[in-house]
Amino acid sequence: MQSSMWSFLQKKNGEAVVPPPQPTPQPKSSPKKKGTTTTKSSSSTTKSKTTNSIKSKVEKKVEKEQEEDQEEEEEQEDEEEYIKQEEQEEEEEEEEEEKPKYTRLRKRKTMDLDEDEEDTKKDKKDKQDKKEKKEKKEKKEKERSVDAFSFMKQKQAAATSTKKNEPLSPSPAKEVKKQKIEITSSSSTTTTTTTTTKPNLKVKEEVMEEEKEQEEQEEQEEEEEEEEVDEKIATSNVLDSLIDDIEDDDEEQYSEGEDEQEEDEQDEEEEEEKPKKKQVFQRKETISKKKGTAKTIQADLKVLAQYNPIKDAGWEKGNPLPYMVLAKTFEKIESTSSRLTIIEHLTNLFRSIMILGTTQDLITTIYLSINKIGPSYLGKELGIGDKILISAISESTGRSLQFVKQELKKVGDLGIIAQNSRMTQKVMFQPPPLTMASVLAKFKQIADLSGNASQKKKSELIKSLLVACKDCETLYIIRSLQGKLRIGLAERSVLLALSKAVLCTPYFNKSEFPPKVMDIRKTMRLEEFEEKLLDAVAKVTRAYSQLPNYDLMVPMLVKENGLSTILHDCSLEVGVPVKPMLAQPTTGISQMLDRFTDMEFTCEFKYDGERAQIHCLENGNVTIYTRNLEDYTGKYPDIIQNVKKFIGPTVKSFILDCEAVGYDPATNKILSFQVFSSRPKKNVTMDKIKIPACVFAFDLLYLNGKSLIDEPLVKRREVLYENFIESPGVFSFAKHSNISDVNDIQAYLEEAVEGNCEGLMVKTLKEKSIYEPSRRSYNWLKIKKDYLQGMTDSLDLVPIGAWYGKGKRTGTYGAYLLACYDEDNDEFQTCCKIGTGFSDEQLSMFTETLKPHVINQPRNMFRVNDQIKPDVWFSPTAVWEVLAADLSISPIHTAASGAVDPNKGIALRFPRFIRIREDKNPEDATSSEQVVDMYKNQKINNTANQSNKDEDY
Amino acid sequence: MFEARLLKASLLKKILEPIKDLVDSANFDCSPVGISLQAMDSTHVTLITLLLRSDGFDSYNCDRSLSLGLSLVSLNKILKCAGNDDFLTIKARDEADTVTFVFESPKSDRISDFEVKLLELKNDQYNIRDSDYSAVVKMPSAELQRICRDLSIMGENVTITANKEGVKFSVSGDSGSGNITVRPTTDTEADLATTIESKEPVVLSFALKFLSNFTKATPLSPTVKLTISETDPIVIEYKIDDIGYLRFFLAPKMD
Repeated sequence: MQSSMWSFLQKKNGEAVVPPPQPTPQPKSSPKKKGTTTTKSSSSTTKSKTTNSIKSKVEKKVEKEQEEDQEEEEEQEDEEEYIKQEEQEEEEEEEEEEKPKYTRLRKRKTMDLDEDEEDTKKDKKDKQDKKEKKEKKEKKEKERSVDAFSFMKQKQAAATSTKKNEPLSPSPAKEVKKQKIEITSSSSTTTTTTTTTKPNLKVKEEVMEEEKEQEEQEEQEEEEEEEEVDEKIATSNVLDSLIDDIEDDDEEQYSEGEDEQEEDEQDEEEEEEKPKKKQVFQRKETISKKKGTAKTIQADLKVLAQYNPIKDAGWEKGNPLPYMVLAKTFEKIESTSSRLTIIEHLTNLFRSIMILGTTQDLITTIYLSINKIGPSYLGKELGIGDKILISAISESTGRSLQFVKQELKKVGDLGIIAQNSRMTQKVMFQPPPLTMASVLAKFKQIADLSGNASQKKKSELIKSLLVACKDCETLYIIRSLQGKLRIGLAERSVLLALSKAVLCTPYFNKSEFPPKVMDIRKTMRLEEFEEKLLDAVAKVTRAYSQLPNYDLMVPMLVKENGLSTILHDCSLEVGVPVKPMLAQPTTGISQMLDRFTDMEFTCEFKYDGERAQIHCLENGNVTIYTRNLEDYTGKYPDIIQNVKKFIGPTVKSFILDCEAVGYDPATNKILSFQVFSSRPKKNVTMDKIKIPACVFAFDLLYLNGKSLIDEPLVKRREVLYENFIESPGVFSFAKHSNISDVNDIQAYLEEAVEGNCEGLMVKTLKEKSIYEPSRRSYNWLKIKKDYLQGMTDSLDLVPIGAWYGKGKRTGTYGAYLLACYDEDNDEFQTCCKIGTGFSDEQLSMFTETLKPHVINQPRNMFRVNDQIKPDVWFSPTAVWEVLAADLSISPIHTAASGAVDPNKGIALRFPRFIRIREDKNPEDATSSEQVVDMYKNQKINNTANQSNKDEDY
Repeated sequence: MFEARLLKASLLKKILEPIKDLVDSANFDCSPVGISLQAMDSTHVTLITLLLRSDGFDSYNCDRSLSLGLSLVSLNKILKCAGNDDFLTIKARDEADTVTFVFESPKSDRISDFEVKLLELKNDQYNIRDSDYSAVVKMPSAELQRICRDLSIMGENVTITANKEGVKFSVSGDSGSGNITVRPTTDTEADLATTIESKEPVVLSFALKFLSNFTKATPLSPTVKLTISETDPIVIEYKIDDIGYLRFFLAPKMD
């Protein structure tokens, strides 16, 4: 449903083609859509009548009240106080009338604040209240004369919800509120504040420092309350009401503050809600992650657990899924650093979608949440350049290019700029609200555009998206387009939320509505649920690693008994690449032997090339993927040609895990990675190949329609040897040996290094030896040749900041701040400052390449100690391989903080730059988990203390 | 069956010129009354309406209403193949998925036809009623074009101040500011006079980019009518001789 901005313009109900209107002054009598009263002439009284007719339940008494209210409004009296009086009066009424009273209260309020508005916007009511008030004060006189303008403004503010739709932004508090009124009326001695019917969700954003202070006071109150309240009422309700009390108090403060000194509001939230004032550019601060205490997080979770997936969803069954719901969820996710809370928010959204939407809706939402537009192996990415976005923002908001660029330097986030600079330009007609499906479809369209004039077309599409955005939608649309959502939502959390949602709300029979089981947690003990959840998460994660394609996996998951059969339904498929299994680094043979005590294992040469996953379909089509699931088929025409040479006669289809290595046919020797990486990357033709690639196969995941990954390695290897044929310079099996003696292994490692290999891979052979896609498993260990030189494994780190060079290094960056990546929190955590290992050329080259990525302030996702203040910050782009003497506990670096020491992180000592890792994305950098492992491993080595060796199993 | 014949293909060219940079594709709604078009640019700042009445065509035949969704980019390319004096015939079958453009040279010695695929476009229609105006300005279209061109040098937005005495177009930018004032002409000779009908003084700002684009319609008509009102978008109307009009609605900037 839409609303016209302009009194002269009305949307036709648009069935048939209607001839254009003749220039007659007669008003058109075409049917208006409900809820859009657009004619300027309609006075406030007629409007309120419309309202009444729409909401037929309103009683006459309410009308009276409303009139009173209108008078009151004109007198500009304090609304809040009035409401309180009213509430007290109503409290004295009989208990039976509780419900109607509740609605009436709502109604009356809605009306008195919405002179021009028909929408009942329960959620946003209080915000509008403030807005309305302010607008009124600002242009008290103007209001009547320039009706259409103020009308338009409100429409914009209110346009997020429609008459038909339920208010957006799911409100778990809403339900709680009802219960609370009951509480109060049964024990009428409790504080009056509790009845203030203002659901407010932004618990986290609002619960700021003041509240923490308040909390303690409230706690006492709570105790008193508890005594009064019926024993039947569960403690959770009380907890909820505690939170509500906090909110309510807070709001009261707001309103008082407003009356006294309107302009001096310090609260960020409040500032956001202010209507965008003319000419003043209001900066929305980057939402800072709130680090809640364990207690506040608990409280938040309690509230979230009350979520009703139907009532609080924000839209109704059968209606298209609005994008706003997701944007609001993103906003909540961004405002917290608690992973549990993040997952809970997302779980609730997924539950609503499962009940009210279709499976396709769920898939769409998942893709939008992980900022992808399809399975990642298809390689379609958004990543729109800032230049296009800047011009699209400037055109859709009517601000000058220069202005946007200037702001970008100041604010550093285009999304925030776009959100803030909305509307210096009026529009003819507000486009319909964005839906999830329409957003994803547009994203796909944008990503698919290429070639001639694609920039302009992209820009047009982006503009059409932006013009339909409201509130925070703009922020997340822009960030999604950039390909950097950056709200602290890792894909892992999405999978977890998905598992949890499916477990909580098993809803298979779509004809049954509402579902029988709304929340399974209410029917079982917490421990029982936690146990089931663990199992579900493990299954879903493994299923996704086997079939990394949500389009295929989600339908299997949401069907009846989907959770129990998911592993069977989502097995490996040829043509769908899986993330390869990775190995844990070790510091030496002895450590490796400790791990594999009493287990059979095998040693394999670790070839220094590029990981390649070769898929061969039954029709003979061959595709090759890298470790990042990029399609490198075009890079290896020689391998594709060779496939026929190395497969056995019975082989029809397969997935082979192997290493592609440069090979010199003249000397029959393996070439180094440096030489091999000089091969061209795209659209390679046979005649361009100077360095032939030889395939060293070490694992077989799939053969002739059957997945092998659940077989032990010894079996997989057997099948591999049976079905493939070695061919010199083209295809070899990775050299292996089932030795177990330390000296033999040492000799074997030296042999591997002699043969231009990186080191050894040691793998379990029988026990615990299934193939685990996308896992860095402890069942695969790598011993690098660096070990021989007394060094540990290198780390791949991301430069996120730099200091200007001095002396000889003037003009370039002299030192860099490096960070590792924390997958759980989607954060970059600092672990060292590096200034050695660079050549002069490298220094100037890095300065050049990193300069375009300079940002003004650190991203939210950087975890940096205040003591570290680099001269410039970078957005994470590059990955560097770095060696260090050892790792130590550091009070200023934040890597893996909390894992080893509650407040201190881990830092590298004497870091030294080795090379750039072009094959890795910042998210593929060494994870903080790995840093912890490395730290612990060296501890084992240093102290020869082997007692804690198994703690990671 | 729909068939319409225009004596000059150049008319369609001229109509397309100011539209094609604002809108990618649009529905040409054909009915017994005539051909009409309503389209908005992607940012929804401007609304374009076009009317070509059936009686203005050389011949016009339309049994039932139909909507021709066309890519204006392709249409523009095709029209480049037409001579200015060619006759133009537009043909479409009912329920067709293509439309045919036939160009015929005046001597009938060269006939070309182009079939264009139709697009499925969302058909949002708006009723537009005449709004109260604060000021109506009629002026030579070339004059408006020149004003827009001259002011574009200085800045991006133009402020229009209209009262009984005249209309002032002001612009300000980094390098300075400028004003051009147009006064009603006293000698009421000919069509090219400037007239101002003002009820109340009005001041509004607009993005110059759009105005400049509209003035590409100058070849369509010697005069242009600006309807300015405080509460509604500005309307810029180019009358097309004997057949209809092309109107641009432009939403003002918020100051």
